[in-house]
Amino acid sequence: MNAPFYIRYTLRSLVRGGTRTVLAVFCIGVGVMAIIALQLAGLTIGRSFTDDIRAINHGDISMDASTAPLSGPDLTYFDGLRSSGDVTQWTATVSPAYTSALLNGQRRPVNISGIDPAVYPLAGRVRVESPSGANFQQLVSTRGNAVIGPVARDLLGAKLGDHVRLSSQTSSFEVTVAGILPATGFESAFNMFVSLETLQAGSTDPLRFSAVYLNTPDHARMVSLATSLRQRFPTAIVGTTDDILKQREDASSSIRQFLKIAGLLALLVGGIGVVNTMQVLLSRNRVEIAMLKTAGYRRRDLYVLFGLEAAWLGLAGGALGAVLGVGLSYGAIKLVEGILLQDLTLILDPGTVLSGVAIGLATAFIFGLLPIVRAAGIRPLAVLRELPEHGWRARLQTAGLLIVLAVLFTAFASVILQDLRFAAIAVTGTLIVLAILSALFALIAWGVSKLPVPERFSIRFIIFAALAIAAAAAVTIALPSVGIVLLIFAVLATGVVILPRTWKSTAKLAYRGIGRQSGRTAATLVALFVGVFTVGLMLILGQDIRARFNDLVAQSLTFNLAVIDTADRAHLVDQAIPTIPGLHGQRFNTLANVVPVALNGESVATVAARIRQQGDQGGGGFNSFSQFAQIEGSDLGGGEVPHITVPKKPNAGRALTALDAGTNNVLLQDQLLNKPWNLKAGDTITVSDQAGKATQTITVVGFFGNNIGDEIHNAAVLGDDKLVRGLGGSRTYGSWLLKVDPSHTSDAFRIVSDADAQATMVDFTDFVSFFDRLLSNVIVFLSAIASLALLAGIVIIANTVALAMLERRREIGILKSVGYDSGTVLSQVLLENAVVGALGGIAAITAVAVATTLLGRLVFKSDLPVSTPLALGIIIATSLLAAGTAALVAWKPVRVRPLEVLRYE
Amino acid sequence: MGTTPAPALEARDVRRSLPLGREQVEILKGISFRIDHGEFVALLGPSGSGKSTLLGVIAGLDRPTSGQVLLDGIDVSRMGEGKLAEVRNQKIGMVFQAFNLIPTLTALENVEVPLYVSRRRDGSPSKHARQMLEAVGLSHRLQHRPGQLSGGEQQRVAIARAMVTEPAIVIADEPTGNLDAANGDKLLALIADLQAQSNTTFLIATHDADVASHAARQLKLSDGLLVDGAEPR
Ligand SMILES: Nc1ncnc2c1ncn2[C@@H]1O[C@H](COP(=O)(O)OP(=O)(O)O)[C@@H](O)[C@H]1O
Ligand SMILES: [Mg+2]
Repeated sequence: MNAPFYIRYTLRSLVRGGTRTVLAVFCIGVGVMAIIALQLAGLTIGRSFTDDIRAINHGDISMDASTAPLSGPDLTYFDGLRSSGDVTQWTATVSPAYTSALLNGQRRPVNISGIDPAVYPLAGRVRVESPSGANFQQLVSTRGNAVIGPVARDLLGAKLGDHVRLSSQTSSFEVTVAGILPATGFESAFNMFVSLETLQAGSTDPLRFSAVYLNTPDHARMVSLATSLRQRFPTAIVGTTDDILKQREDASSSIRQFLKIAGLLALLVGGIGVVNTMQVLLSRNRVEIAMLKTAGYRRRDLYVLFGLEAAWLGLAGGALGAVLGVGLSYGAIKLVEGILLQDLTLILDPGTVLSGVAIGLATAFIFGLLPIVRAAGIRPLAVLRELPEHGWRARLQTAGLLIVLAVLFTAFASVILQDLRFAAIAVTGTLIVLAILSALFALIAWGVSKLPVPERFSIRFIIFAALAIAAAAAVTIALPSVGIVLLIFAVLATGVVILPRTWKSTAKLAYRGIGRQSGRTAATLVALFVGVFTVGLMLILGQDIRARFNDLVAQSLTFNLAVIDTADRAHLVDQAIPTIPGLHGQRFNTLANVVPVALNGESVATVAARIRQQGDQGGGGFNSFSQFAQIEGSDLGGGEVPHITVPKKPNAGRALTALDAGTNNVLLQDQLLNKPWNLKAGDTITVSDQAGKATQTITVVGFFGNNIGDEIHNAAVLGDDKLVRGLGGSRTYGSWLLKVDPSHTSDAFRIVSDADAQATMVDFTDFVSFFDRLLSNVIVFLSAIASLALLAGIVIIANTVALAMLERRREIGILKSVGYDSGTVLSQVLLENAVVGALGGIAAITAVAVATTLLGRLVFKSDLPVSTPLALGIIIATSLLAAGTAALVAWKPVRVRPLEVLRYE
Repeated sequence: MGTTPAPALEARDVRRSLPLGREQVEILKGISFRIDHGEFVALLGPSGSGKSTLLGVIAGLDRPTSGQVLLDGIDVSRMGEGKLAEVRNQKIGMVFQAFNLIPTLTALENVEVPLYVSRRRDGSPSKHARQMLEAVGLSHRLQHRPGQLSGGEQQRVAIARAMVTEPAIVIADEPTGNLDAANGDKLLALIADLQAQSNTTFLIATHDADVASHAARQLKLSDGLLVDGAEPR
């Protein structure tokens, strides 16, 4: 051993490797970058998810009482808790129903949140975006001030200093926009915060509190208090930091797991690049290695030598990746912030960043192993005589090494994922899929190499071509775009016959070239396939989801505007609506808020206790009693029957008809058929009006589905108009859904507010842009990960061509000595790779088409067609990408001077 | 020298078959000879007679199908790979027609290469290599890369590399094959000189009788059989 020599030798041979070395470093760098960035992102998300639990929960315990809001006297209970020491601090907030804001002559719905700025929030801090540096509590505590969330601001078109008139059922008052919250934070982006004092000043009725937040002295008292709150307020949703933590930890750990897997995938991709690149680097040095062996170097010495070479690559790649990873993590965090709508502060954990170098080294060693062992096993005689290596032996060895590689990578993955079983399953699964794909593609490569290029149209060729075209046409029936693409290529392949002779020979040599190294071609095809498949799937699904989303707005939201007004003023709006220009349709419903009292005669407290016993903590959503708190009415007698579909499930009952007019019959949303409610047709629900004075028992006659494309309803309970008006009394609301030409929405707004200044209006497309932004963030994120796979494809093509050029140096020399020019040789290489690219593209698009068709049928219950231009575009792009990469790599080698390579013959 | 009873190299009925299509073709058909220490021997035979195959077997790069090869009395024909590497490093120096220098290393470093894995540790590799390059007349080319050297110079570096470990035998396969006549003659003269000075054993394979005439003894190979010169004179 002689360290300086080893260092010198390896460094110089890497320098000689030139672009190849750069490529290897780059491969490792990209892998490490992805894993570091995603680890940092995961860490950051995990930390913020679990760190800010109390802030997210607004305290140790949060209680959502909106189903049955609390009045002032109810709150004395909490004062009692405080004096008994069970609670250190508490605060209640008011969120009146049917609140709207009037600005610039237009009235929009907002969530008003009345808070006590002296104590709210009980945990965390509310950040204010503008005016920057302002204090949330100070801003709110000034009488007449409001601090507003970003979505609410966008919907209202409000800016700092605007005077906004807020109205609810019981109050009406003017506030000044004194602060705006950032897009990410713990507070709802739809909220408008005012002080309780401000709210009370403009209100005719006493305040009714819809949420209470409490801090407890310790964990034990938090748990016991939560239990007693659940008993005392059965329809309320009580959440402790424990509940939130559990939800968040689940979410965070799956996000982190997902990010880690994505990172590993990137590493695997980088690793494949490393195997490939090292192979090129080392096979370039075959003669040199043989030389070292004849000089007495043992395998062991060569392992050390090439191991060191791999180590340099790993170090350089790891360092590069760590630096790039830190940079990328900023971008990743921004994207994730946009998806989670939550503030994240990047945690630049030095350990994670440094681990990048270790990961780079491990990657280089693991993936360098295969080429290194192969290179060290070179038989000098075979090299010096230019013989092929022992076929079966080399293959056996490769297979063995692949298994070792899989085991090593599994170990590596299990360290990163901290889950051996999962890592083993993932790696084995990936390998099996790759093996199947390789076999398939080897077959395809073999088939292509046997494609006929006849001198003229022979009968056999015509039959063959006709069969191919017919087969392509047959595919068109099942997968139209794929079939058309296949048809085009079948015709192209047939058209080869009419090409001039030199072109034909180029085509022939290209076809045969594909078959010559069918193993390597298969590897290239697999890489291209995986890359194009993931990117294609993302593109098509992404495009499709957005398209469907917009469709949803256009059609299923059969209506694009909504107007809400109290039912007693409905006639004012009713008169105005027909005068709106560009009006295509409308629907009118009444709405009433009620308080659920009993289900099938069993009090809500008992029902809640039973649900809790079954293990459902009543954590909100479908478990919440709030689903029974609002009823939507239709004028059944007037023929306004809700257009719903009754799900094909047992107990789902029937739809409402005109015969139900004047009855207490209602429909429920079909989620209520499921646990924990298990309701069925024939069940009864007892509800009271909001004041708790009159009660009414309603009968469930059926359920309605909630599918994409179905009519939209404001409530989970649908009934007759008269029932709703009876329950709502003077607080019954009218809701108009309107379909108005987008160009006339502002006219509609003006006409309605002229008719009744108290009417509130919503433009649904305002929300669409919000969700669209969210969706594009998700798509960008997924595409970024997917394009890593494509990168691997390119690297592998570059290396495959480089290897082929090395191996064919002599052949090229000979071709040139018999009169070929560089252009002809290059065009053959280009055609060969263009065909490979097209094959990979076609295979990938076919798979995408199959996948989207299946997804469409099974998940989305509708067609998700792949458009032919997009399919063709992707295939042509892949083909060009492959040919371009090949051109770049082959440019120099085909310009070799024949004498140079043939000199030693 | 010559105090050891064992010859520098002894081949005993060496046979080597190679697959040709489905059949095995016997390339070396039972070759026996002896070379004593300090001898300068040429292996002469027409192209395709099996010279390179024989040298491969002798150098331990290939195994005989049957028979034995003894280097300094040690049987190398059945040795394991690791041991063989050591033998190659210490007992054999090889020179090829195509020079086969490592392009990234300087002339000096190329000569040092075998010393880096050598068990013997007397003196610095660099000093030995310098001396060796001086002996082949290249002391002014130490820091040149192979690409910057002429064919003759490259082959001289290769010879220096072969001899730097003071091997029992230097084996050269058509060492002048890539050189013009004038440079070939110069190289052969150099080999003869070095051989005489260092008393190193040399075995040079060639198809050219003129080249072979530089040696003191000629082993004549024809169609896989030795036809003349099997014993030292
Ligand atoms: N790997 C091999 N497989 C089959 N035959 C071989 C192989 N190597 C050499 N031969 C044959 O062995 C014979 C001797 O070759 P070689 O030793 O190279 O001869 P020389 O070096 O004397 O020109 C030739 O006929 C050659 O065709
Ligand atoms: Mg020969």
